[in-house]
Amino acid sequence: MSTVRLSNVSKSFGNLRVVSDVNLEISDGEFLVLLGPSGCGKSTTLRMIAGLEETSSGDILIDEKVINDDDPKDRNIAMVFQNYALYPHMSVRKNLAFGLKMRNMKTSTIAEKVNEVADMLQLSDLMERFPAQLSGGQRQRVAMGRAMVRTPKVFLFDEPLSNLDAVLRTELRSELKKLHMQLKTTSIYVTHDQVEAMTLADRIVVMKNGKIEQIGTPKEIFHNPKTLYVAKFIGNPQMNLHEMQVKKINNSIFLTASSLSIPIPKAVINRTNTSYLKDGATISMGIRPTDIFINNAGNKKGAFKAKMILTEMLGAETLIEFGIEDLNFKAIVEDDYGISSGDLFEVGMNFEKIHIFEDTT
Amino acid sequence: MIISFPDKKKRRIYKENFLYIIMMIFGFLMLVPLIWVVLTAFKTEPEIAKLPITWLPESFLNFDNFVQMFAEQPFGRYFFNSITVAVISLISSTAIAVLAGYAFAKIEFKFKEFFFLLILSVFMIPAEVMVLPKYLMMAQIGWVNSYLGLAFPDLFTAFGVYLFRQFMSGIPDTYIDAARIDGASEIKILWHVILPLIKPALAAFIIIKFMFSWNQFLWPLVIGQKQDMFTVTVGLVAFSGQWYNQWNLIAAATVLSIIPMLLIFVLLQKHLVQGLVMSGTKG
Ligand SMILES: Nc1ncnc2c1ncn2[C@@H]1O[C@H](COP(=O)(O)OP(=O)(O)OP(=O)(O)O)[C@@H](O)[C@H]1O
Ligand SMILES: [Mg+2]
Repeated sequence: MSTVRLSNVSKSFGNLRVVSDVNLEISDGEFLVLLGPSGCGKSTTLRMIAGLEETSSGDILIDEKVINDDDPKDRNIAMVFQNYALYPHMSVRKNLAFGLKMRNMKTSTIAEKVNEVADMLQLSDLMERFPAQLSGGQRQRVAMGRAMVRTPKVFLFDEPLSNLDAVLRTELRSELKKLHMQLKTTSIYVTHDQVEAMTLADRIVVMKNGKIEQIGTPKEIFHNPKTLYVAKFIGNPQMNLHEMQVKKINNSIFLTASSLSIPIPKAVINRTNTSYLKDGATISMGIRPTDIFINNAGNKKGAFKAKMILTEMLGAETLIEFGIEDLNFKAIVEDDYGISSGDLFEVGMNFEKIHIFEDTT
Repeated sequence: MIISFPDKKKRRIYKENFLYIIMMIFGFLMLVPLIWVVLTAFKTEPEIAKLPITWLPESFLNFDNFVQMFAEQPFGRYFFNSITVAVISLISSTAIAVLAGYAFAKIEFKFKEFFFLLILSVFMIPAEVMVLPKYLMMAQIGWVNSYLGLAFPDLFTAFGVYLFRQFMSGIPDTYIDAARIDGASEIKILWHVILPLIKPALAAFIIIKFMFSWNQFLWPLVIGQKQDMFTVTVGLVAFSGQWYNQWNLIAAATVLSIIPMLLIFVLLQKHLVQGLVMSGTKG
C-alpha cells in the first residue's frame, strides 16, 4: 500500500519537450487514469514512474521517498504492457515465476505464489502453455498475473486492453475493476479510451501536449470540464459547442448567436470564471446531447424552433441532429415522437447544464 | 462440391519433381570430391595410382592409412591443438560478439554509430593483409608457438558483432523493459531473455566460426613453428612433399579432420532449423 507523487516532472527527448511540469499526487489504494490522445506523453509519464525512462527534471516519490535514481527493480512496481511482453520462450508458469526468481526467492515460495495468482486469474489449466498458444485475453491475464505475483507497491498499466476486441475489452475491464477492489493496490492506468477511464478511475488526469489539463473524478470531469479541450475529449457523442457572444441586459446574462439568445442561469454563472463573461466577449457555449430534449409537453418556456436534420435509432435511445437557426446540435432522446428529417419541432435545453469556455477553437 | 484441376495439379507435380532432380544432380556433384576422399582413405597406394581408376577400395576394412598417418606424424597432438584453438576462439569470439551485439542493439551510448562502423570496417580488410603485422605483434608479446597466438586472430570477429546486433535489434524492447521491471540485471536479461530468443543465430555463428577456425591454414602455419604446435591443417600439408604426395595419408587425415565439423553441425542443426519464436507480444 503506497502513495505516489510527481513533483514538477518534465521530460525532453533532445529538444522535444514531451512532458512539462507534471504535478500529481496519487493516494494509497487509488486507481488513477491518465487519459489523453495519442502522443500526449502518457506512456512517457508512466515509464518515468517505472524507471524505464529518466526524468529530465523534477522528482518522483513513492511513499514520500524520492526514487528518481533507483533502478526499476528497486522501485517495487509492476507494469502491464500494451503488447503484453510475455517472454515467448517461457511457459505461462515460468513467465509468472520470472520476477520472483530474479529476486532469488525460494523455489517452494515461488510455486506457492504462482499457483495462488493462477487460481485467482483462472490460469491454472494453462500453466504449461507458451504465449503463442494463448488467446489475446489469456495473454493479457498472464501479463496481469505476472504483475500481481510480486505484490508490488504500485501497478502501472499502459493501455493493457487496447489490443483486444470490443467484447473482451469490456469483460476484462470489469475483471480488472473487481481485482482492484479486492487487492486495493495503488494503480496508474494509461489509456486514450474515455470509457475505460470513466469506468475504472477513482480520478482521471486529462493530459494535453505533455501537460495536465484537468484532474478530477469521472463525474467532475464529465459534468464540469474546465477547458474546451476536456469538454471535447470527454463524452460520446461530443458535447455541442458553438461560438457565441456574451450580452448583458440589466442584471441578466445572455449568450447570443444570430437571432438565437440563451439566458444563463445563476448556477452556471457561479461556476464560470467571471472574466469570460464580459459584455460583448466571444466564448464557446457547450451543452451535452443528453441535456437537450424534444419539447413536446407544451412547456413553451425556453423552447427553440428547430428543424430536424437526421434521426438515428441507437436502440433504447435515439440520436437526433437538428438545426436552430444556422447552428447544428445533436441530442440523445428517449423518443423522437415520429419527427423525421425536414420536420419543424421544438426543443428545450437544460440551461443549468450549459458550459462556458473562454477559448473558441 | 469439390473442384479439382487434374491438369494443373499434374503440371505442378512434374515441376516439383523436375526441381528435385536438378537439386539432386547438383547435390551429388558437390558430394563427389568428398565421396572420393572417403573412398581413397581406404585404398592402398598402388590402388590409387592404378589406371583406369577404380572407385571402390578393395577392402573397406583396410585401416592401414589411418595407422600409418598417426605413425608418421603426431596427429593426436595436431587434433588436440586444433580443438584447443577452436574452443578458445569460439568461447572468446562468441562472448565478445554477444555482449557487443547487445550493446549496439539495445543500449544507448555516445558515438554508437561511429564505433559500429569502425568494427564493420575490420570486415573489409582481407585477413592476409594483416598476417604480417599480427605476426610482429605476436612476436613482441611472445605468443609465437602458443595457443593464444594460434587463436589470436579469431578471438574477436566483426562478423559476429554484426550478426548478433542484427538479430537482437529485432527483439522488441518491451521484453527488456518487462525483464528490467521483473528485477533482472543486464547480464540476466541477456542470459534469460535475449539468448534464448536468438538461438538460431547463435547456432549458425558457432558452426560458421568453428568451421572457419578449424580450416585456418595460413596463420597457424606462420605462428605455430614447432611441430608440437601444428594444427591438423598444417599437418595435412606436411604429407605433400616436394616430389611426391602421399595421397592415401592425405585422404585418411582429411576424413578424420572432417568429423569434428560434422559433429558440431549435427549437434546444432536442430536449433538452426527451428524458427525464431516472437509470439509473446502482439501488435
Ligand atoms: N525515445 C523517444 N525518443 C524521442 N521521442 C520520443 C521517445 N519516446 C516518445 N517520444 C515522443 O514523445 C511523445 C509522447 O510519447 P508517448 O509515448 O508518451 O505518448 P502517448 O501519450 O503514450 O501516446 P500513445 O497513446 O500513442 O501511446 C511523442 O511525440 C513521441 O514521439
Ligand atoms: Mg503510449
